[in-house]
Parts: sequence; C-alpha cells; structure tokens
Amino acid sequence: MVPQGLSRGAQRLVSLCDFAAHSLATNRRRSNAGADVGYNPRMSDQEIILHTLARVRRRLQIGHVVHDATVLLWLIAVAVALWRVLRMAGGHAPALSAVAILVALLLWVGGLLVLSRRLLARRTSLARAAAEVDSRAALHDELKTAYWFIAHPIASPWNAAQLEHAACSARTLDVSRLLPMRVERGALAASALISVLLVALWLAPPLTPSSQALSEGGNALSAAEAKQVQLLRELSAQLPGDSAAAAKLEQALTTLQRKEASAEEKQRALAAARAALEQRNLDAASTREGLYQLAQQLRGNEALKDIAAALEEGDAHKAAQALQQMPDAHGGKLTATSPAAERGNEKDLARLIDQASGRSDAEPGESASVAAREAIDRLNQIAAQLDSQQQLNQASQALQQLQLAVAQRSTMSAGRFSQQAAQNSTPSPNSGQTSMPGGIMFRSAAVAQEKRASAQQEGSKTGSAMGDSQAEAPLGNRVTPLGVQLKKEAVPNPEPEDQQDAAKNWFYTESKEQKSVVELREVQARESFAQAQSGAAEGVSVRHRQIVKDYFMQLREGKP
Amino acid sequence: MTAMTVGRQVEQFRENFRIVRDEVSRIIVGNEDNIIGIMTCLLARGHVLLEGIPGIGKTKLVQTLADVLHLKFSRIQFTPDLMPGDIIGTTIVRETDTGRKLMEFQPGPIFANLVLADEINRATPKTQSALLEAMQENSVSAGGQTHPLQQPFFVLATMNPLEMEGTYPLPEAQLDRFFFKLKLSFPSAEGLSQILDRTTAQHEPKVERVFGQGEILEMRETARSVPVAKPVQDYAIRLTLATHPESELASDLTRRFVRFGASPRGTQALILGGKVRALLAERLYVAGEDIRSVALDALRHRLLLNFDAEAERVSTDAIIEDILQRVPLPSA
Repeated sequence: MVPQGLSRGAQRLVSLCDFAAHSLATNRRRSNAGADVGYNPRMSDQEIILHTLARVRRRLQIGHVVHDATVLLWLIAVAVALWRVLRMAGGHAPALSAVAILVALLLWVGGLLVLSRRLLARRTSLARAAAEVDSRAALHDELKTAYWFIAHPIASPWNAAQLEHAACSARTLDVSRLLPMRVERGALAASALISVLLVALWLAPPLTPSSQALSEGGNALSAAEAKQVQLLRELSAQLPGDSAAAAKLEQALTTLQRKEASAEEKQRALAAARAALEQRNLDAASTREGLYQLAQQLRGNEALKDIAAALEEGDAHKAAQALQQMPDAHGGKLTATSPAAERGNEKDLARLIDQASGRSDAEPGESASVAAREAIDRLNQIAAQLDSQQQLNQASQALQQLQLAVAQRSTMSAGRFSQQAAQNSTPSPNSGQTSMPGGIMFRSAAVAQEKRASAQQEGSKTGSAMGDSQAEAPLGNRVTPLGVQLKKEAVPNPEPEDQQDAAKNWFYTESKEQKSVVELREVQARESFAQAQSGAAEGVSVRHRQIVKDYFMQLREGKP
Repeated sequence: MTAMTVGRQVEQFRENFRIVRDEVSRIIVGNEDNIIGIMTCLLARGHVLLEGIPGIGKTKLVQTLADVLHLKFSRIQFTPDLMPGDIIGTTIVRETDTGRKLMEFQPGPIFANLVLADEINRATPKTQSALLEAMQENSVSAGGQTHPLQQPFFVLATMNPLEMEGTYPLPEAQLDRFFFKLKLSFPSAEGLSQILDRTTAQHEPKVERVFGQGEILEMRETARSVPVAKPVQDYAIRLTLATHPESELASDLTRRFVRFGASPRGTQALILGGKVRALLAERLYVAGEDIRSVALDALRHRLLLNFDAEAERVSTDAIIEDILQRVPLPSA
C-alpha cells in the first residue's frame, strides 16, 4: 500500500518498488515450494499446473470412491434397518407390509441404480479438478482459466503471465490439506446414528409375537378359560361310568394346564376329548334308535302298549314307570332289583319285557317277576344314560369354547388342523348326518322321529367352533328314517359258537325302498340332463344327435 | 512484451486507478462503488448514465473527475428548448480578413474529453439523439462533414428519477449506448457529516490533476489486453441470454416481467467491465466473479420491462439478481 500524502512521482516510485519486491518474493516462494513438494525445478509452468491438477484429480477420485462406498454402506444399512422394522411390524397388516416391502425394495434398487449410474457417468477431468481447487483455495478461477489457456494455447504475453502466476499458485498449494482423505463429519455422525438405530431395532421386542412367543403366551390360561376348565372337571366327575370319555377329558384338561405344551398339542388333546364325548352322543343316539325299534316290536302287544308308546317317545323313565305299574304274577308291583345292574343291549331288554309280560315261552311266575325287575333296572340305566347326555353336551360346549380359544392362539389354521385331526364332527341336528373322512354316515331315524325337543337332543345343534360343522343337509324337509333306508343282511355262519356271536353275523345294507329311490333319482337325473342338452344351442339332445346326423347324411335329392 | 512487462502494466494500471480514486474521494464522500464504476466505464471506452435524486453530488462527482484527470471538460445542461446544434455545434459563415466568406464549423460542447450531460431526460428526444452518433461512433456529422471526437471521449449523463413532468424518458436505443447505469444512493449520516465538514468550511478541499489523456489511453489499452477464457465468456453470454424471455435460459421472473432482454452491447459491457475489475483485483484474467460484479450496472438499463412489471413495481435489479442466482458460475 502506497502511503498517502506523497507526491505523484514519489507514489509511483513506491509502487514500482512494491511490485519488484513482490516479484522477488514470488520467485523465491516458487523455488522453495518446488523443493518442498517435489516439483522438478526444470518443469515449465504448464507442467506444474498439470501436475498439480493431476494430483488433485487423484485425490478427488479417491474421495469419490470413499463417498460412494459410504453411500453404499448407507444403502445397505437402510435396507437392513428397513428389513428389521418390517419384520417387527409385520403381521399386523400383511398386505400393508407387503406393499411396504415392495416400495422399500424399489427405493433401494432405485438408489442403487442411481449410485451405479453416477459411478459410471462421473469422470473426474483435470478441468473439474481445477474448478475444485479454485473453489476450495479461493483462487478465483485462476487454475481453471490457466487450464483452459493450456488446452487452447494462444501466443500472448498476457496468457504466459497468467500461466506463470497460476503455476506459482499451484506450487504453493497444499493439496493434501485442500482435499483431506477423511470421512466427513456428517457421514460419521450419520453412521453412528444408523448403528445406534440398528442396535436399538435389534434389541427391540417384535410388535407381533413370534410362534414361539405365541406358544409361550398360550400357556397362560385366562380367567374365563380357567373357569371353563373348572366346569369341565366338575362335569367329568359327574359323567356316569364312562371311564374312557372321562379319561380323555381329564387328559385334555391336564394338557391344557401344562405350561410346556404347545397350542397344537392342546388342540389335539381337546379334539380327542371332544371326540370321546361325541362318541357318547352317538351311543345315546344309537340307544334311542334301539328304543324306537323295541317300541315297534312291542306295539303289537296290548299289555305293553303304554310301554311301547313311552319307548317310541324315547322316554325310558316313563317306560320303566309303566312297567312298574304292571302287576306281577303275585299281584304286587314290580320294583328294581339294584341300581348297579349290568348293562345289556336292547335285545336283552326286549326279551326281559316279553318275559315280564308273560308272553315268553319261558317259565312263568317267579321268573317273570325277575325279568320285569331286570327290565326296569335296564330302563332306568338307559334313562340315566340319556339324562347324562345333558352333562355331556355342556362339557362338549365348554370344550368347543376352549378349542376356539386355543385355536386363536395357534399359528396353525383351523382347516389345516381339521385335516390333521381328522375327527368326526358333530351330527347335523336336522339331518343327523355326520361328516366323516371317508364319506357320510346317515343317522337320522331316531332324531327325526322324536316329536319334541328334549334336553337329550341338545348339544348337537351348535356348529363347531373349528368351522367344520355341517350346514343344512340338502335332503329337503322330508327325512327318511334310517330303518327304511337300511336293512339287515344276515351272514351265513354254519357253526355259531354261541348265541351272542350268532347275533353279530349281520350287516346293514341298502333296503329295497332305498334302492328304488336311488334308481328313480338316477332316471330323473338322466332326464334332466337330456332336457338340459336339448335346450342347448343345437336344439338336439345328445341321445338323438347320432340319429339326426345319420338321417341327414343319408338324405338324397329326390328321395324323401 | 514479456510476462514481467505485463505484470508491470497491471501494477501501473492499479496504481493509477488507486490514485484517481483517492483523489476523487477527497471531494466526494462515499460512493466508492460509483467512482469505480465511472472509472471502469472510462477505461472500457464506454459512457455512463448516473441516476440519483437532486443534490447528492452527481454533477460534483463528474466535475471532480474531470479535474483529477486533466481532461477537457464540458457541461451541457439539458433543457426542453435545447437544440441538437447546441450540442454538436453548427456551421457558421465567417468572413476572413480579406473579406472572403467561409463556411466554418463551430464545434459544440460535445467536443471535449469529458462531457457532462446534466439532466439528459429534460431535453427532447431529437436533442437526445444528437448524442447517439457521438457516443457510439466517437464522431460528429455536421454540414456534410464528419468530425472525429478527441479521445478519450467520455459522456456522463445524469438523470433525475423523481420529476416526470416535462421530462422525456430516454429511448431504448439511447439507453443501450450507455455502458453502465449507476445509481447514486443517499449518503448515510456519517457521510452527510463528512459532506458538511468538507463543504461548509472556509476552505474547500482541492484536487490535483494526477494524470492526463495519455495515461488514460494507456490504461484503456491495458484493460483491453486482459484475456478471457471461453468458459467465462460463455458465462457472460448465458447471463445475457437469461434476460431474454424467449430464451431457454430465462427464469420465471424474466418470462413474466421482461419484454426485451439485453442487447449484445450488454454482453460487451459485461466482458469489458469484467476486464477492468479483473485488473483491479490484480488478476491477469477475467474470472466469473468479475462478470458478476458488473452485471447489475451493465444490464439494468438494457432490460425493457412489460406492463405487469410496472404494475407490480418489479425493478430490473431484482430480475438481474434473480438471474445471477440462477445462472451458475462458469464451470470447467
């Protein structure tokens, strides 16, 4: 700076001196810098500039690689974090999760493509390096202009002066300080943040419990379920003399209360217990059917008319009372022998009643009284068995609720479990059909014949909580009794060992009436098929097509 | 000429410039940028239009500059009845000693190195247009003869933006002939205090004539010699194109408010002004920031705004600043 207050000539002299000093300092700095940073003193200004720019470009390229690697790591970290978040949140809304996964995947792939394109497209030129140095070192486009002058040489002292000045600036540049090889603070902070986020996400509990957690969580019984279990235990204690069903039920309850048992195990145990109870229901239905057939047999006997009517209604109590009202051979009333009489089948009961009524060919008198007492005992047993069906139904309903609760916790679908369990389901209350793995079992007679709904029928009307209950049977309102559909066919056994074995040598087969019904339906089906065919576009039924075709094939001109 | 010579030239240029600036600053308070702007115009062979409210020293600035530069100075006070002949001169009949009558051209006040066209917008367009040829061609045609003007020829026109009645706005063609349009702002409180100190005392400060015509011409040559790299030149071109509403580079503001953009004279002004600024910054080349630093002064009077801009009071300065923000600096 030229001091103020000097004359014009003095000021000019001072400025010239300043310029000379500046030039000397520049030359000295140039030679020193060349020795320091490894520049060859023989290098021209252009070489110095290009050498500096090459160094800058190399560092820029390395910096770009580091930056891109950081971005790539970021992308991977984001993908991992995203995967973890979706894994945590997945299950609440599977569709939403799928969309989120798709969007995230697309974004990630898009980011990767952009990065790849950037990597492929970016070519760090010397001009770019010059611009970078100008920007970082505040050189005001000096190296950029110098590089342009080198690339477009013009013989001009001004250009040479500019190159000389630019070379001097390039010598003094500390490239390593201008372009330090270090990760940016922002990238470091972001990496730390994403690491913390990843750790937090990894340690955070999933929003949707896993299957293991589900099974563990399913071990704890709720208060309502505990109450159901308690009720089932009480009902199990009341079950009359059926050790198999009681044992199954007890086993199911034990499994249900076992903490280490999985939800599927519990489901199986409950299904097994329920199958046992359903078997009891089927036994009861079979008993009612036997009573009905017994009533049909006794209907011919005028003395046993009341008993037959009671049996036809399925009321064993009433039948026992009617039998008690009958006078015995000694003029007294009959009484039951003991409550723990052995249980027999309905055939024995029919024989006993016949003996009691004196119709039998057996010895009258004392034996008739004994037979009547036995018949009363048997009827009381049957009544008790039928009465116990109410408890069975309650137990079955409680089991259904428990099954529902356990099934909701289980990861296995209801249909899948049904396939695995392959248990008979509850007979339809209207048709009496029971869905079985191999077909359909018809059991409609006894149920359909009852005039009023009794407590013994209850329990079959609720659908299964597993969703496998039968819908309304496609048979219409009219139900044909089982006894009409089926008939007994004896198996010839030349040497029966005893009477009991001989009684088992028969099987149910299709009755004549049922056979005719089936044939009729087949004919109707063919007819309806033919009608449907005739209503098709061709207007000719399948049956008649060949005839029509032959007629037209043989048709000749002039011949009718 | 060697690089050392170039360096010396640049140093001389800067030194001369500093001397003029310091000398003018002894009279003119503040307005550093405007002094630099006027000097830039002078050294870039341009003319300058000064705009400011009355009494802020427009005329004083020009007078001081003329005193410092030791150039022939003339002042033309533009009035509505001023005729073109009053500016460029007229041919008169002169009788010689022998009694012979000759037609002789009597030069007007325009025949000077430094012409102050005071309140140029008060004259009629006819009179204003008398300046056109002189400013562009540096010559005057009168009486069938062309009279070259002495170099350096430098017109400083002042304009009062407040008074609209009885004024004739300068036509676009004439505005375009001004290299820069400078706006003189009102001085600050400190500046006012300094003005009072300098002008109300017993002795007003005097300036010295530091150098004359030769140095100015030498400095002009130096300024013209500064090389411009193509990217920087492209930057100036892009800036100019960005002022045209139909250009691809035009910003939304330009498309909305500008009717006509800057002419090629605007680009010339950017480059030449940038060269002077580069020398002032001790650079042997023109950088992008040199172009930026003169963009407002060089382009603000070259944009013709539309009615929407007038209605919304959008100034050309705002549009140019928007362009400067949007157009990136010269890249590699």
